Amino acid sequence: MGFLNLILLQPILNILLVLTNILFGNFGLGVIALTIIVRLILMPLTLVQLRSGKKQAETMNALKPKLEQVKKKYAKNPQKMQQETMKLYKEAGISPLGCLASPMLLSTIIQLPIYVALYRAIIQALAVTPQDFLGLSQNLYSWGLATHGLPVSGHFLWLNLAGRDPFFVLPILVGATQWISQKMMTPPTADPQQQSTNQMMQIMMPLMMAFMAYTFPSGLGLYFLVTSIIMIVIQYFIYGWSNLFAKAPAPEPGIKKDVKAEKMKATAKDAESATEGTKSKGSGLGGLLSRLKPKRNDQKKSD
Amino acid sequence: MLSKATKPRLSRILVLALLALAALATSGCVAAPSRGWSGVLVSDNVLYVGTLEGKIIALDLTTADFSERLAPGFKWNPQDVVGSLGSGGFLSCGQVSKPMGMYGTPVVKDGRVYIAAYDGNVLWVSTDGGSVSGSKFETDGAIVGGMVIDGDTLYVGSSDGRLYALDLNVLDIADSLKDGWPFKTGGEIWSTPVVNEGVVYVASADHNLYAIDTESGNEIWRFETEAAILSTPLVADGTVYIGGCDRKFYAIDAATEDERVAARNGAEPTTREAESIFEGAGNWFWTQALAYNGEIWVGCLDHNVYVLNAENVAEEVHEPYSTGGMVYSPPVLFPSEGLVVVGSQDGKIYAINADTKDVTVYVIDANTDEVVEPPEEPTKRLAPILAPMYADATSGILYFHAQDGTHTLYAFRLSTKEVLWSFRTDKISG
Repeated sequence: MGFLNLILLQPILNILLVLTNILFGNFGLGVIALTIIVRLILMPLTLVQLRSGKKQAETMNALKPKLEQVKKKYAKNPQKMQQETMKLYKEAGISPLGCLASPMLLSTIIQLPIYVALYRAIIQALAVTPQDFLGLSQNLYSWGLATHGLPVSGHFLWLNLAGRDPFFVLPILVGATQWISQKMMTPPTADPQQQSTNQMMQIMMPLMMAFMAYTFPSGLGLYFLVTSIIMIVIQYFIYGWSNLFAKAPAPEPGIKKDVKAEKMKATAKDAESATEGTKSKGSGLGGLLSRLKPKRNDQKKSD
Repeated sequence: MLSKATKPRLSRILVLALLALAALATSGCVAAPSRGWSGVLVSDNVLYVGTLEGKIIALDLTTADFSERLAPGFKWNPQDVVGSLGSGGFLSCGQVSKPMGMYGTPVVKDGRVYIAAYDGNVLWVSTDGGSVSGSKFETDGAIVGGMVIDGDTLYVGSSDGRLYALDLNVLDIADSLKDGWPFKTGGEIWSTPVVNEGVVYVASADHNLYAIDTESGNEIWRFETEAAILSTPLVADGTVYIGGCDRKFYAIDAATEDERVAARNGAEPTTREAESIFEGAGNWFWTQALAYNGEIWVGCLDHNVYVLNAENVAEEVHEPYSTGGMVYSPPVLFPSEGLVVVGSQDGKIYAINADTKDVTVYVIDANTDEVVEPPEEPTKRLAPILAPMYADATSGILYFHAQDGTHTLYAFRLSTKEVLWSFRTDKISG
């Protein structure tokens, strides 16, 4: 923690206070300026992250028909189905580890400590109690510009940045911008299961961010808001507005039918294997799935 | 019963919730440490101190049993004197720490112990029976510094930037503000005012130290530094000593009688220049200095205690004493032994012989209350000392309030190196 403080928290905190001092002692403007600067510095990583996500989504969409074919073709041989699926992934350049091996994860891992440091810098700079101030003193450089404006004034527009927004405007703005950002990076899909997942994410994330913006000091809410707005601008250049206004296509009848048919088949097969016992348990993922199926069926029965 | 489609959704929600909790935990949001400080005052064998929860307690020192290490009993039941300080929000998010009920040291006058609390109120408790004043004097900000009483007037500064002068002869403390007051500064006042020869000196976060005429409340002069001043001035031999957040320690000529009279008659305030400046510190000064034998002893948040020449503070008399933590608690003096005693955030007590400059370090194990050898590596067993200490020169006992998550009062006799008793102030009910 000490090392992270030294290389991340302290520089960010001191720059935040210098910016505040330069920007007429206005802490709100300081937070906005710092968020923009940090976002600009991290822009290459953000672009890698977004482009990688977009490319992966496109590749997956392109692969979908082939995957369906494999699914149908090897419905009775899960092991073979898995081998063929892996082969397709390999050919398309998708790692079997999914996002775990993608540049997306790497860039997220690099950015995460910076965001945590930025968050902590805002909290520390807004020191209210005397002991907060003692802690702040240990993270400041000897720069006159950093200490000149202390203690910072938390007043910005209608907000006290050290407290909650009494009018709920900031949390609502944070939730709304987060929803737009989320929607922009989610391509429409015909898969009903994917649709429900997307819908849940589009509701849960903005709600969570709005709740945090309400619970935390408004200084952090302001940081969330500026971050979301910057992300919307960046995403516009990657995805455009199309995802924002696109309506989710109605589930393809074929898919729906297939899903139903597969369910019926699986139920029949489960019932069969329940009576026959576990005659053919393969190895690997396919084998594992085949071993799990009877259990699921049992559970369903008990339900 | 849950459908198959619901199960993956729930697992995703669970993962999201866990991620959010992990983020909160890594950002220090879950457990805000409950640290703060209230200085100790001993008057007529009764010890007064504030607790974390905002109670004032009075311990009858005559009931302590040193042989059994038995702490003294209450003179009267602990009294709640501080209003709500806020919950700190969901999971205490957004707060680095929880505020303490009171930071200043209580003061006693004419059978009343006066308390200035973090909720911004000043009130009193009867020293006899512990009855609380019927009303409170309200300021518009948190009170962090202490109070000073001069004659029948109590001076206290507030985070609302004002210095208040209260007339102690007025029965209702809520209406006790004197004419011509408050004195308004441009920033929070976290410093304790000091009165000397009809002048009250107070520092403000607006970077200025002010000299104000006690009679009229008019400003005599101001001295400007390059950053906020949170420390308490010291006046000795016609000089005001003060350190600031600009990492400098200043010596300034005190206000003269002529200047005071002129200010009382409405003369424009002047600006002061420093007589000498010490610029060798590595962090803020946030404590009152001590003057002894022509030397100025001052602690600093850079973990050092500096010994400066009172005639010219730019000159160090001795190399700084390095401690293992911030020095926020002001140095105290045992004059008969010639000892300057400093408490540090590292939990150790440094007793320095003012003549020979030899230092003895005392370490009290917070678990056993035994004085132990100073550990080579920092240890969590030691309780940080941030609150002002009280040196009882008559008995040779040092009283101090330490915090390591718990808040504990210690009575420590330096001559015999023994803890006479200890008393937890964070576990008081009633």
